[in-house]
Amino acid sequence: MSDDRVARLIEEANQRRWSRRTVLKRATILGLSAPAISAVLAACGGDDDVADPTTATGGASPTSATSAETPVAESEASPTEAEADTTPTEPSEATEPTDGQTPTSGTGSTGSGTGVETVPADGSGGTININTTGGDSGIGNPIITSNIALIEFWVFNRLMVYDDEGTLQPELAESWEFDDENLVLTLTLRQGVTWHDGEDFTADDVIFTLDMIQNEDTDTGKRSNLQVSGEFITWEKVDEFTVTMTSPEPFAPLLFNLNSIGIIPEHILSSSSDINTDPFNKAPIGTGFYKLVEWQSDQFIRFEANPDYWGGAPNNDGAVAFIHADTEVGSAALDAGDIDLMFTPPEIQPRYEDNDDFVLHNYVYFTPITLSFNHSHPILSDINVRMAIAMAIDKQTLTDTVTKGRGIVANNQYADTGPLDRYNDYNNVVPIEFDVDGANALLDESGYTMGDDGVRVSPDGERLAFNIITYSGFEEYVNDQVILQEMLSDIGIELTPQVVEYATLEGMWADENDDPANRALELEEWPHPFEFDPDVYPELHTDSLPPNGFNYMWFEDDEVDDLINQGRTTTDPDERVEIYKQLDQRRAELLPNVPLYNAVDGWVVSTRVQNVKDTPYFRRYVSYGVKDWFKES
Amino acid sequence: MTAYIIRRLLWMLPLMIGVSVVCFALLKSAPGDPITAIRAQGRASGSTLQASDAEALREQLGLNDPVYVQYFDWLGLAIRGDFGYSTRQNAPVFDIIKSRLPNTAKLALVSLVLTLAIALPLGILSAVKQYSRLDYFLTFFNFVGISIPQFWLGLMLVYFFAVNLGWFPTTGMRSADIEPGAWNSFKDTVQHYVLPVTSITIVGIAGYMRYQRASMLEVIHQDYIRTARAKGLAERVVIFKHAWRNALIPIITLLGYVFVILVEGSVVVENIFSWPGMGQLAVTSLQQRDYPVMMGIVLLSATLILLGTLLSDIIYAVVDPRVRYD
Repeated sequence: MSDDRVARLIEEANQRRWSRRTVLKRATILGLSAPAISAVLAACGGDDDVADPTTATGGASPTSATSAETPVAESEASPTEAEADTTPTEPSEATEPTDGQTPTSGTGSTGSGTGVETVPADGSGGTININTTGGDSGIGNPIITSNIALIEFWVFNRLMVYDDEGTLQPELAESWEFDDENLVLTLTLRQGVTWHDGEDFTADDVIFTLDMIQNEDTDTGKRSNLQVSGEFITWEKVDEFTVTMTSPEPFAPLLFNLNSIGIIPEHILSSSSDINTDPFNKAPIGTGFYKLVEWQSDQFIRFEANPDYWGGAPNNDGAVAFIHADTEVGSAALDAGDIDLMFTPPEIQPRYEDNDDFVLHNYVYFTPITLSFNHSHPILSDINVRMAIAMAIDKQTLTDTVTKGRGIVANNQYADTGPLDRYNDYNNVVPIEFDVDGANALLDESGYTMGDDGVRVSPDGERLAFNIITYSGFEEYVNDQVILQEMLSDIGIELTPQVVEYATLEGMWADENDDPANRALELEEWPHPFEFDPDVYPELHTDSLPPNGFNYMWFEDDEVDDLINQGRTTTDPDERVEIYKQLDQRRAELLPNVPLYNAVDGWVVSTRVQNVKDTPYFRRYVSYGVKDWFKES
Repeated sequence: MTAYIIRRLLWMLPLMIGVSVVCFALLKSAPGDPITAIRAQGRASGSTLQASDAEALREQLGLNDPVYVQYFDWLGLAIRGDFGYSTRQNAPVFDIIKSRLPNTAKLALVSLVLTLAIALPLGILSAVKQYSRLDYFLTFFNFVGISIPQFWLGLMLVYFFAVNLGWFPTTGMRSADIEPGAWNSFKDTVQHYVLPVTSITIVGIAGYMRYQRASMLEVIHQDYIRTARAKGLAERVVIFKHAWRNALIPIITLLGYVFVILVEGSVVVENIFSWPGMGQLAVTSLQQRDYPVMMGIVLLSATLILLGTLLSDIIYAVVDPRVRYD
């Protein structure tokens, strides 16, 4: 458990005078154990000393709080220059055992809650059974479009990868460094890594992977990962274990982009006549901690532990991923003991809460659910109208109702407790108080007079009636619309809910001539950042107005543009945190949107599985944490 | 007869083209395409298929061409026996269907044999002992069997026999961790078949039994049965030799459709039990907007339905000398 998050929770609780309930809920999301929660509640009594996060993090400044983790296991060489000065060493319990050491006891409670941890000798830890419900695409090659994500993490490695705390960890690249102009990235590759067939991993594999992605004939969705403003970066092999990449302009999210590219073997695929259909895709050879040994289409994929894994052999014999039609089927398999863990959407969660046989690991979706304004709409372009709407929304009631008490209210750019949490400015962004009278007064002052039908009229004689659009598939969003309709009627604003297919909405976004009245308000997750990089250029920057990008709400502000540009071109993690905090402040002043709440998803894990770490962001942890788990025989 | 068969076969060609046009148009009119399906899924899983990549992929797949161009591209290849590549699996549609077909056929065949073996005798019994308690009971069972939604039955079977009692696996066709040996492998296979076969069979029995009862009742009241009885034949001979043979005619003609059942499978049951067959393939390809696979499945089904109808017409003529196609 990361102490800094607990500290921040305490700090905030004191600053904002949160109710015990709010503290409790946030603490639960953070995955704190019961004693820890009581400690937090006690600390929230008002003692200002406790609220100082530095006392809890052992010297970490609050700004760098969540990045406090050594990216490399202690014995390893120094991390990147960029990260070097932001890494006050944390107790080893929070460190991912990248060198394969067995996790020390106390790495969060395990499923059984015993705190155990007699890790069995390698290869006796049983088989971890998991399910996947996305269907079987039959593609296990990480660069091909519809590849199965699980294989990408288990069988392959990337150059570097974000961990569950949002910190970049080295994988096949042992370290990396930008030059002074942030244009050339030099990667030092890990030596002594072998492919599952015994061949050595070298720079040729990296170059080959990047070349294949760039190749027009490859069926891949990763091409833009290697592009900056539509232009390809270039790459070059310096020696067997050094690669440089040159970007046309400074581009910090490049590391995030590389984090989603699995490296494929040159010695096998260079002779392939068609990489899109190569038999390799169904019998992949990687460098990861599992080897894929059997693939029964639409049934299951079987993995065996890779005893020669560079990061140390897994604690278990392997894993089986069952392919299930939907979560109901998966839930039955979980109850019957056929699988050990599965992803659970909120509707499935109640049956696993307070259940001795399972542990529910909750986490927030990484970006809040938002109400966003179409800024090309003549009335909604008035900040006073946007502010009044924000004031008229009782977020707490909305959140509790639609998420059945599971979600947490959002007031910032990124999801609270999520992987981008560190970029939110909790100190300076003051949540907008729920205040219907204040909202009415603001509209009165701004010349929006109440009409006879209870709907206000603008100075130009326009009724304050808007449609609120969302995409189908989430009942929750439909409920949001209805509740907002009700809440805003209290300030004389009439909403008309509308639900369309995602594809239809996507079509409207791309249409630069779309009438703003068609999408006056949207209820979804705009602006939607990448999972681990705070860049919102594709959604909030003026360069990204339709049809160029996803700034389909037509938000324009020079200062925001400047901050986004700075954030993209700065590679120092600490500086970036400061820049995005300023962005969060500016956003709170201009209200491109109103963050409503953070949706909570979860994974259910059977207590048979041991050594499962408690983490606020289980979603990412589950993709690599499986390596450390074992089952009692 | 031969001329009739040839005429029917020739008719199939324009029919197939008609079916393919309608289906292609329907599939295309559904919102989204393979790329939006990937993106929608990516939004849920946090993957990063960006606008420019999505556009490039659409171009690569020819999804930006006008719909009629896409149709004729598809038709041009299909006529030559090439049903293209799955947009999602990057494998030939033919291979994908070929790998799923046997799984569906096996499940359907086992269920069908079991269904007939149970339904036909019960149907006869019900008819012969009309208005008896047994008849009432079986008729009641019929109504229940026909009315039960198959997905509900499947889920209940899973909850009782797999989750609570733990007798059978919840899903799949075989376990991932079978102990070596032919016997273990056989046992594992049988265990996996029990629940899906049961859910198909229970619903199937109800249908066939009703059919058999009705046709048997009709025959039993014919004059020639009375004649047979009047001749003093044993009841067993009357029922099985005289009555049943004639009562089987409508059932046999139904068997022409067996092909279709064998190939299409039960979409519901395959999805509940994660059975890797055609039904599951159809659902996932529809969800993923995998047009080539969908078209392959549709064409295969259409062909088999047409052949099945033809076959049952032929069987009809063979078993019932009164029927002639001239």
